[in-house]
Amino acid sequence: MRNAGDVVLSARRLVTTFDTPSGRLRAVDGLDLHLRLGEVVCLVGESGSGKSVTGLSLMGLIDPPGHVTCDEFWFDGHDLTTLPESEMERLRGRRIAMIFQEPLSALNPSRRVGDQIAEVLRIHGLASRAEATRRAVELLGRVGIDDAQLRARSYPHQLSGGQRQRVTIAIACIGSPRLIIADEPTTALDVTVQTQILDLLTEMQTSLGSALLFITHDLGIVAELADRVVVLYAGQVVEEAAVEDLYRTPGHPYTVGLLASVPDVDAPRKRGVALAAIPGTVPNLLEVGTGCRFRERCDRAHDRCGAEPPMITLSEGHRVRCWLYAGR
Amino acid sequence: MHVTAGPWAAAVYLTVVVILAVFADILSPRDPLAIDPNNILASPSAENLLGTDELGRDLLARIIHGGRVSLEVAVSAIVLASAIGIPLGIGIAFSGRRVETFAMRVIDVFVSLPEIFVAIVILGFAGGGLTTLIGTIGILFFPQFARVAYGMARSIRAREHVLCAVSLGAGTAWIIRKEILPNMMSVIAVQASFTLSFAMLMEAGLSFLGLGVPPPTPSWGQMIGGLKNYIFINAWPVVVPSVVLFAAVLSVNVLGDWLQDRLNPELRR
Repeated sequence: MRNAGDVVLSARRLVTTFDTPSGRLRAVDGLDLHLRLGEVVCLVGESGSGKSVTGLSLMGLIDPPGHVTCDEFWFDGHDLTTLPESEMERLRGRRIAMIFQEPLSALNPSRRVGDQIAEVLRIHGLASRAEATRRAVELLGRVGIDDAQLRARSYPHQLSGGQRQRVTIAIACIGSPRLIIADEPTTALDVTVQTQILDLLTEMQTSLGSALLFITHDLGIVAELADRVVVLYAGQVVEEAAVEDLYRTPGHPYTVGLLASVPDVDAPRKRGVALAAIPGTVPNLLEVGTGCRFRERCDRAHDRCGAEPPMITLSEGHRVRCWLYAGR
Repeated sequence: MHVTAGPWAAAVYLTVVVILAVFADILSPRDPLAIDPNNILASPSAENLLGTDELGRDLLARIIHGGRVSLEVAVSAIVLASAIGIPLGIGIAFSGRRVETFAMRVIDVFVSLPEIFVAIVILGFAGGGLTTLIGTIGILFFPQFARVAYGMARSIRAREHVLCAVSLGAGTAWIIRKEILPNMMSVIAVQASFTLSFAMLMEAGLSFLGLGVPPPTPSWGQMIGGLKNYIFINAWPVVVPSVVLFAAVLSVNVLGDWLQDRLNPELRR
């Protein structure tokens, strides 16, 4: 693990609910998250596990009918539970920034990309117009766009998918944020381009010395990128561990299932053997009752799984929400 | 881009009309107000290329000067309508849900008012004249701009690039200026072009009824209104301004359609 620095974000019991016509939906349910400067934390889960909502909640971007509560929520010395929206606005883009999944829709189609990068500095009054433009072009070069001077004058539709994601990375990084939240930034890209974008992202994160929260469902990326991993299931953290611990000794049956479902290209191919998959789907969040949310799909489910499972610390920094480890 | 003959013809015709209107003082062959009692309701001749009206005034000169009034009123009214309607629509889209519902119902009421009737009432009380005419037509058409701006602002606001801008610390004013407005301009342009033809017709209709620009200043609608009384003496004079107006409105519509297809292909019916 890289040297872990100061805690930049610390959230305890983060709950995000949405009021829907059929009831209150708890998209994120009691999430604890601590991020240190310089570390890469991967938030892993399948569709509907609450990954993206977590990212938006941390950014303070949940609008009604959504609602976020948190017992404790510190970011960069600010208490976000009491911080007024106008102050939060000043942090966004300057201290905390987000990279979205689909760069084409995240960019304003009718404005030049150079202006969109420069505008972060303009919003916060951090530079004059000329200075902002100069720094935007410079950063565009640093994120690996050739002919940055010329490309800055392009519109998003004139760039390739990879170039567009480089632009959104530049937009996220120009304010030198302490925390970058990346929500599946490579999912919409070709595999070859994916690797380049991941390299760029870690390079920018390292040079800024910031924390990176990487939201993904791709365990291949996790192995490559993460210092620590947080596994999310149906809005709850089911396991949290350093990346080595998670791959070597996964605790939660869900994590075990996830890791087993990654195809192993090195293993000898056996005819007729299907890829391992976890049966079933994530439960409807409106219908979860008490007890372990994974028990319907779990091959090690037991009677006591009907009661809320405790969060158990297996070793330093390795926590699991499962009855299997209770009373050991 | 392939442009068919229709839009070309429309563009050429409107360009000619606009140039004649703007430079009417130079390009008009005669004084549009000069009366000639010995040559009334004449058909075209070498002297009067498009004939003369009931007071012997040259029709070509009056068409050229009348175009100036017609265009001036229509364009100014559209500018006024969008200057009121666009900020209002965006403002409503960014207000709370209650304000939103209430304001849009009020706008609906405005849209459902019978336009010509309201115009007659306003102009009847305020009297005709260039400014009142522009003001009246502008007020009649601003709700349409408010509606379009409201709808566009709401849909653009839900797009991810707006969320992205918010995630960078942009406030509401910034979002409106940099994210919402630039992305709605193409739809607004199409709306403006269609409303322009309605405004031209409205001006013509009101002038026809004698509620527009007071004589002797010519406008197309007013000429039609005056000349229609002599249709059985000589049908020619009333046909001239009618055809000119018809072609102008048609041209604006054809260009509006073309603009629609070009700027907003996804809205093509």
